[in-house]
Amino acid sequence: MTTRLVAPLLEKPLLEAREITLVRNGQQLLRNISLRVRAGERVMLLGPNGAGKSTLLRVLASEWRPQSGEVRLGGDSLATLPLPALARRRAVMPQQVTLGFPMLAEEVVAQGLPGREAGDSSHPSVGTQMAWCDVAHLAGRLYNSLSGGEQQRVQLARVLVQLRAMSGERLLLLDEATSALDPAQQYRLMAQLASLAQQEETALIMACHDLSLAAAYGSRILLLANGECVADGPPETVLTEENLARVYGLDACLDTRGPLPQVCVRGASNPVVLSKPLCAKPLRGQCSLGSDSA
Amino acid sequence: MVPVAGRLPPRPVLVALGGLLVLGAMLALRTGPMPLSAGEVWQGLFARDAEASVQLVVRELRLPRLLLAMLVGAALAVSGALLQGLFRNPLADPGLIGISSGAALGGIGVIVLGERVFAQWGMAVPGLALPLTAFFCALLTTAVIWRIGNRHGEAHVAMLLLAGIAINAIAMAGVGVLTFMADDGQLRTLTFWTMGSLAQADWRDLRLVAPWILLVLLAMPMLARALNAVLLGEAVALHLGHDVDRLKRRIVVMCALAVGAAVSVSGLIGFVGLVAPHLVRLTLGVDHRWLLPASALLGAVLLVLADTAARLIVAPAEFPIGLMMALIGGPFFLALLMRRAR
Repeated sequence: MTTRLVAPLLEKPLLEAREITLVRNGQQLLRNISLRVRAGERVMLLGPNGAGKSTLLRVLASEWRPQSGEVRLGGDSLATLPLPALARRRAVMPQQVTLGFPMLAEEVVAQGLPGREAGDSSHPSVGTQMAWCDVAHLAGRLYNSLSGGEQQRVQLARVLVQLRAMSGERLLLLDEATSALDPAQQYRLMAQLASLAQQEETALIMACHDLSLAAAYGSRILLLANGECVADGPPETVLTEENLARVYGLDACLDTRGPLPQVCVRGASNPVVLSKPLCAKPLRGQCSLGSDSA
Repeated sequence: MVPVAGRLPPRPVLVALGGLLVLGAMLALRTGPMPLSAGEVWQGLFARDAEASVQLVVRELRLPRLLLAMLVGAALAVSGALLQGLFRNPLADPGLIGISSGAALGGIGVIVLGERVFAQWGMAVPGLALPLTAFFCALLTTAVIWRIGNRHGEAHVAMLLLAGIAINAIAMAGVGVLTFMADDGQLRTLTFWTMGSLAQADWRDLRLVAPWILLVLLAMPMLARALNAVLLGEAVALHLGHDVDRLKRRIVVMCALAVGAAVSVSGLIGFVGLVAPHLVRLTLGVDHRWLLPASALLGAVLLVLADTAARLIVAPAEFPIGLMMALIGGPFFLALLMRRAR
């Protein structure tokens, strides 16, 4: 019964963004971005500072409304989806969270619980997700007294509390969720998140600056520059020497010989794309409406 | 910043605050020019055959004043807690950011100019004119402060406090002009307003403001969860499914209602909204489900005690309660600033 109902849904993308253009304070931040993501995909948003990664995440999170274009989540337009319903389908971790007043780590995490349970630190999910993120021992500490990496993991636990209270296909948006973690924590958490996305009907979209991490755990990479999508596809087709040089000005290549693919950097110069008006046609693995990765 | 070890379980603290309020109320009903025993107070309140003078003192003088002190204290403390939660800063007090003085200017305007204005239509000043004007002025100032202190979804507390200074200055200048125009009788009323006092409390005042303040007190628990989410930032609150814009509008209207009502019967009483929520946060933490009711209770206790003290310390004269709160709250505010500067 359930499989019959779910099967046709699985063929449709969970998230569909069509020709999104966003202008804020007279500046064009996003231009004609289209994107289709299915549950189970791990999309890494890459691009230099100011490329529009966080902006795109904000639009996908329904925080900012685009001037033109439309975003649909599970078939419903974000513009018409009420906020509480949206909060039961997607969770967001912003780049930075500062508290207005001193709160305990477990109080922060418990805010992720839905409805009337919100703020209940004794809820079992709070402890479970804190352990998942390796911060269970920090539950009784004040959030502001934690290190940057610890704060980041506490925020991730809050987001996971929200995510794991959901049923059905869901969307997880992360903005540099692992930037302050040590390398071991980064790889461990990313591996956990990748398997979570595959096993729990979750589409993961994450903005990231670590090229090797993105290559290792992304099933698909969306390369942004100047608010435009430059390339979209699996890591080996997007992270080419040519693309890395054009977008980042990076002399680097993707090395897939080891157990985990990694990006080897030989040096850096000025990016080509940023100094020139953007090319009319996207490069290889272009931003098509259909995703070309499994 | 705040020692967590000092946090207490919320339910017992609420009960203790309730008990403190009952004790304070008893004290307020017993003390005064005519001291009464607990039994006499009881008789004055409930017995049909009580002595007429006791009945008069308890039922017509002390009881309305006590209830008004409770309501005004709760209204100011809750407004402070709501604004502080919204602006994510403990310095947002309705007095400091100018809402109270905006309301007071409106009220004083009605006192001084009301008769002249309404005489044009050949009417006496209606009883609702003063509280309504105070409310609309409170709403207007809150809206202005909101626009100045909030840009792109982030609260700018420095701007907020500067706006408060400016609005307080404008309101005081307005009050100065009205003082200049006022006659002797109006001057006395005016002075009561600017220094804050509950001396003229009666049942009519109570009937006028109680519904509005009770409405705010009953509605406030509905905002607690959204305010908790806003502690993590407006964006996070939105991600968690809360309509932050609607929350803002509701808080602005509720604060204007509560402060407008409080100011229209008691004049300018500052710092309750600063002191009460801060003390509650130190003992209970920042969860608004407890913070809001506990602030309401503590605000009521503070004002009942301050009003009782105001009646006693210079008896048979009365010390203005607004001055009293400023004497307590001013140093408290300074201490708070110094803590944050460190």
